[in-house]
Amino acid sequence: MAEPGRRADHESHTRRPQFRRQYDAGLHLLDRQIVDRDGIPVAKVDDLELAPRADGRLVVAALLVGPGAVGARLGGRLGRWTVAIWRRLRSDADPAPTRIDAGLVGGIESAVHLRPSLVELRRTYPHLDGLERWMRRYVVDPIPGSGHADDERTDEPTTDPGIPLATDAPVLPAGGGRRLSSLLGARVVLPDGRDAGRVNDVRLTGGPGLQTYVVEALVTATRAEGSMLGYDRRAVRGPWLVRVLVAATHRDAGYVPWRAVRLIDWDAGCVEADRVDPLTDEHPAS
Amino acid sequence: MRGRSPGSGISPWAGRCAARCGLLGVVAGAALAASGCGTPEGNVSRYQAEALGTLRAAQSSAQAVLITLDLRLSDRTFGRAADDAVTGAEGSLSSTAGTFEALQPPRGADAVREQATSLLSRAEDAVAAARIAIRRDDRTAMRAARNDLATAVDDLDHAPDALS
Amino acid sequence: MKKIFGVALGILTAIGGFVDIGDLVTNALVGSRFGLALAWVVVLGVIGIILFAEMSGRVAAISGRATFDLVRERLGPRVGLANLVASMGVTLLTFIAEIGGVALAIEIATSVNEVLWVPVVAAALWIVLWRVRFAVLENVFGLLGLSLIVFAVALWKLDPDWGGLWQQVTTPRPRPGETWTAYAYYAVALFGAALTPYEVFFFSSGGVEERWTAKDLGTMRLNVFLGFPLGGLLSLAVAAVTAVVFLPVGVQVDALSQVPLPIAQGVGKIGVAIALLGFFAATFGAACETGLSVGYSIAQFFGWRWGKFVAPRQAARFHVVILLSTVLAVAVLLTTVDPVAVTEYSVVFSALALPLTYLPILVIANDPDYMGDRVNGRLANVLGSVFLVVIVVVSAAAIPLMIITRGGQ
Repeated sequence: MAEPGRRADHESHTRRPQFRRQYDAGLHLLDRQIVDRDGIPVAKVDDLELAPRADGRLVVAALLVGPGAVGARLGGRLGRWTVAIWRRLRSDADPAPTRIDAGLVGGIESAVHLRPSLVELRRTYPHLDGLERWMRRYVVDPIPGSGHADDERTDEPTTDPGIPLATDAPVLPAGGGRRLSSLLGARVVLPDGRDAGRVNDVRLTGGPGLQTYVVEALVTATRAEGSMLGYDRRAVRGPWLVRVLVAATHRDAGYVPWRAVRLIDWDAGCVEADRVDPLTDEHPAS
Repeated sequence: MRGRSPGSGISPWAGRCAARCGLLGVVAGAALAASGCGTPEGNVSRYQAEALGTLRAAQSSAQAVLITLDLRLSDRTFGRAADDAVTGAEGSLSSTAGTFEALQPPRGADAVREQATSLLSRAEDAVAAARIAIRRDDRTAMRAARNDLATAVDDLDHAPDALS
Repeated sequence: MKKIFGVALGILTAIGGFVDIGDLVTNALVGSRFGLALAWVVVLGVIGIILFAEMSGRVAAISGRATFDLVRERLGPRVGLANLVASMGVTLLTFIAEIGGVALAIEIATSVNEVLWVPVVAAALWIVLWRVRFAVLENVFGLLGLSLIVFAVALWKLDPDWGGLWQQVTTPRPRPGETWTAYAYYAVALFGAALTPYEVFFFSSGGVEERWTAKDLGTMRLNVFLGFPLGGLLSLAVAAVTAVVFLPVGVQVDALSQVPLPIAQGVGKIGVAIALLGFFAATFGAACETGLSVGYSIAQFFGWRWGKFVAPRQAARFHVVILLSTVLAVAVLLTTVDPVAVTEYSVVFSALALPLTYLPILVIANDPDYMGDRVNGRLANVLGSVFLVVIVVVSAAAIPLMIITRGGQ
């Protein structure tokens, strides 16, 4: 049995975290655990911010975390309540969800690895761990025996918030970003007005460095619901029974390369495309 | 009733409906009475099944107490553990008995009730005596309680034959 | 030498830690009513838990991620949240049952009513988890749980009709006086007692915290393949002793205080003392595990920091969840509800919630994204699919059977 306590080296099994050439944003990035330099859990990727580059391509600008971000993905009344409660608890008038710059990501393995440590992240993003700090101050600390003697008390935000962390991210116009969640589930419409399904996922290509990934294509499906555990997207593996179930419920996965996308109407949740190709092995699953 | 406008007096429909409802009521009442559910107490065979179930549960509790007594007498278990087992069984027995005794017996089932309650109260007395003896750690009393209990358990064992 | 000691410790704690209040109560009850005619369910349940524990342990070692962490990734926030609520509900119910079980074990030894012990037990439990002592005491509770071997000893000393017992094992039907629906209901309950979801959460979370890698797979498999079957044998020993002593005379076990009686008959006072120690260790250890598992599932779903090695200051939300769960458990038990009844409900609801836990594990263990080349082999997939069907059938049957048999009567 291993010894308790923190370790300085990586938790990702003795290997520096890396990037792959291609990711499906919904499958590989959304809801993934974010960890800091030392492998300590930070949050979950609740949403992604996509921003237009100068040449019109969408790049990944930031990870969005917190109830303000996940509320939109929960949908329905539950999602609205989550966002409403979050807004109530934040002191500023028009809060934005915590936005972790894409340049801070050092690699994507089974978790999203950030380069700074948790302490540095808390200094830069004062709202990152609001609930944790509140609980610590008002519930945990009053109870004796809640910490080790050698704890550094560096987790409280310093007086000057927003110390920028060195990142490699290009400077993007503030506020130009859009949420991935508003693109997922959008209707896909062909030039003749026919409905071609819904956007199921977004294929990203690029690397290394999360900020270099651009949207290469949209993956569509005739059904509105999610990705059926990812089985529709890859050389299907797994128990025969699950494969049969997936095949039965999920036919006609489609692929829209970026150049075939005419227009994305974010607010209406609609994408106009020239054509939708069937998703085959030519467009290799990641 | 449908079609009745206010203040219109009794319409022809009302008379026909009243006759129909009356007939329906008579038929339903006859059917219920025939099935034995006419009286609110339920039918005799169901009550008997209830009694047998209660006696079976009582036999289980009483037998457990008997086993505990024997173990305590042969000093194979601790006083406290025996006390706990017996107290638990006593509580279970009295709650089962109480539930049964609160049931309203249907007509014709009074003999069943009398037999069942007599068996139950004998078992309850024997179990209570066992509990008292164990808590006092009084071996003489334990032996006496054991004999009573053995008889009560035996009677409960033969309850299905006695009742039917 | 130290390595062999470590491996042996792992196996022994797996055996001792296998049995919890659900196994104790359900097996004792089933043995007294059906004899060993439901032994095949225990065997099936043990094979199932071995299969899925190995999968989730492998996932923890290779991907570095714990089960509930990955459930949200695969199912998305909406369906994942539903899964969380259901899994957490069942684990919380089991937590309440375990605390009640500890209180009952102390009641048998002291004759003081269990309700009075509940706050004491809960306070002790919470202090152990708060001060991060369970990380240290886990092995202690596991080894003390080995005391339950006294059931096997008692069985041997009772000198039963072995042929008769074997006859019961090979005749999987209800005895005269019992119905098929009651038989099926207790089959569901036994299955749920063997495959409780919290075991998998706890196992994989422990693996992540201890930083298992591919090198640890061998030890992990040894613990699972050796420890769990032997633990299952302990469960069967509980059923066997009640079958030998209670079944012939028609005693239906309905209280934990009746379970040491066959031990007393076989071994005497020393056996009773050892058995009570075993009850205490098994239930207290399981209470710590379920309490931590409630915290694990919420923390892993939301991405919070968690861990049995982590001090409360560093994982405030996780520890507050555990604190609130403990308070809730005390509140429920202080209504003087019978802990044995709570236990029976917890195993049946565990059976109900099984598909939620096990389908994601099966899916994730096949995913090369997480597992690289250590994905499930053909045998694991075939067995996994078979068990998935069994689990769905059991889950679908749980509530109807509970209603039809009115809770097993």
